[in-house]
Amino acid sequence: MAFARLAEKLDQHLDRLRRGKAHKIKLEDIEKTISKLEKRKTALLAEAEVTPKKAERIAHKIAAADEMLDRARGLLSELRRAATAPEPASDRGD
Amino acid sequence: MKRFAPHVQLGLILALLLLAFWVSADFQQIAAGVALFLLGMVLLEDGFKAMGGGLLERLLARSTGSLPRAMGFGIAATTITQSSSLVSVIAISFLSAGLISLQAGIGIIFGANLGTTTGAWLIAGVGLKVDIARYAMPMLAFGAVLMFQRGPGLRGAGRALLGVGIVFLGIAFIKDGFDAFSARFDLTQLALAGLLGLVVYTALGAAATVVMQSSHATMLLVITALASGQISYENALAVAIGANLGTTVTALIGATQANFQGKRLALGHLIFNAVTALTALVLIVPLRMLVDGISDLAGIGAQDFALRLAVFHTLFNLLGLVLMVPQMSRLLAYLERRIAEPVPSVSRPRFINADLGDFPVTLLTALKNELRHLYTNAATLSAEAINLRLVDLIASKDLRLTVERSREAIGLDMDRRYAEKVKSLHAAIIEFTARKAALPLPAGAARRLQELRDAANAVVRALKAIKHLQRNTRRFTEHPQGEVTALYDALRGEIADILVAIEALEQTPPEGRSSLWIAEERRALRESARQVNERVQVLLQTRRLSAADATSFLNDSRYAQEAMEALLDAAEAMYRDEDDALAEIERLLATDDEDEATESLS
Repeated sequence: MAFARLAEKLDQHLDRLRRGKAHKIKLEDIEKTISKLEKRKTALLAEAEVTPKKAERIAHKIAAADEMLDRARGLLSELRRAATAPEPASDRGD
Repeated sequence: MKRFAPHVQLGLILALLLLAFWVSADFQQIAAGVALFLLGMVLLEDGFKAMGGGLLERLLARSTGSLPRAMGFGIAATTITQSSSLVSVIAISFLSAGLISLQAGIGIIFGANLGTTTGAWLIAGVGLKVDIARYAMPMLAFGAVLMFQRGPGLRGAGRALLGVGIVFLGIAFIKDGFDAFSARFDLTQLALAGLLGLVVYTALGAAATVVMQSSHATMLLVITALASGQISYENALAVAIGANLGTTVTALIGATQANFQGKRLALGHLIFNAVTALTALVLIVPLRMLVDGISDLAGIGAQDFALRLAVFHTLFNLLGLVLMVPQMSRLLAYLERRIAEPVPSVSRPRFINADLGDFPVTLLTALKNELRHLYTNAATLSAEAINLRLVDLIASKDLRLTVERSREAIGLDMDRRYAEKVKSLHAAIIEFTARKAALPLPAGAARRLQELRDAANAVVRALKAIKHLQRNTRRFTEHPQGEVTALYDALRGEIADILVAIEALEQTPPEGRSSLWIAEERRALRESARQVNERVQVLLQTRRLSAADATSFLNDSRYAQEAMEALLDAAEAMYRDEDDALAEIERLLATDDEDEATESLS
């Protein structure tokens, strides 16, 4: 379900991009975000170890970080697919 | 009387123009040339603003780390745009937003002063030596075509090209006007030699620059008049000095409405130009000899006074730099002492002000800082409303323990404090965003503006929700009353968690944080709310909580959820990545209401 919503949001973004109302996202931008999310997850895991009192709360945060990572990876593969997909055939007047 | 002064001034200028038109028809052509030149400069500035898409601002933000770099930026930007006023306005805007230091701002202004002397070289070296009107024609045609294109970059380029074309046309008009004028009149009869000439023509140069609001226009007039033999070389040098002084008057008038930083910059500019002008006046004889020496070395003809004037203009501005740059730290200290920074007020806007101009980078930075100011006030108040102190929470090693120990009532008149610390700031932010939303901002900036305005609304929404739960939370936590106190403490603990998490984001450098962290807090919050509801059920079933207390708590718990969600909404916008592409990704990945709706169904 989450991926369906992401695809919907991506469509909206692409539509805004076509109208010049959004900023173009490059693959390396998503890779940068994924790297940030991975670092964050590592930091949360380390925090859970040193603060057992907060372990439950941190576990929920880690679950959310995992979800974000899945989404980011999904977005990366969607954009990779879009970048390599052939242009749709246009109507020719001849 | 003061009210009528501008009208009297305008009337006087118009009357003088009419008189001059009556005396000489050729003067009409010169005046029309000046009008075209000024119009062209306005178009050129507008074009550069639109064409750059924030390029100048981005360059400025990166190129002002040191004094030489700031001066280099001032020289380069003014040489390219031929507009020291545009560069000065950007510098004031950046300084007001706190994006550059006063030293960098002064460095840019110093550099712009030198950069503006390239205008004299262009006029004397090119403008008067070729048939400049011929070059104007294709520029006007291409500029007009580009100006009506859709893309802002092309539209800006069109305006800039049209501006250059009109400037060229203006120069040609002035040149032809002076040529025709010279056939009938000889203004050199009005030449004044010696000290009197120096003083009178310096004053004339300053007055002309104040009236036309452009030292470029004064230099254009004096160079063209010099080339047509209508002014003596000696008097022309004095006019050039006066033109420099005149620009500071314009800057000072602009600074009367500016904030303290704008005033410091204007005073710094005045001091620089006044010192330069006075030194040039005192050293006029050796300076003139130096100009002659340099001109002879460079192969500038002995009779080419227009180019020699350009050499003088550059030389005496360079002299100003040589004199003032070593005094920079003393100048900064003087400016900071003379124009003191007002004591920051918690209830008044600190960052949004009239000096920011219309530059997306500066107005968004200032707005974000003001939002943070509003948030800090609201977060402090939110914590105190439930007998917690934000500073204690931030310093705490064990939040739950800190919350349990915070039972002492904090005397708080919520309505008064809200009116003092939040309402006026919120109103200022809303008014500012409404005004800036009317500007033709780039799509990304317009979206960000809206996002930050919504965040300000969210901060206020959070505080209003906290206000609803204040009474019961205090009632049940100031004196321990068993399970209900534990429930309310848990609620206070949740709010404390959110406030501390947001503070942690603030303390993390921008490159190491992401607004996506907020999604984690939302998840933890949702899970916690679910657990609390289950706990209330158990307490009710085991009769350890009365139905009356349970309903009070469940109502307050909803208010707390609303407040925490609103705080997170605000934080999500506050800590959105500065990079447009990364911000787009964060918006795509962030969970929204529809995400949560689908998740709760699944």
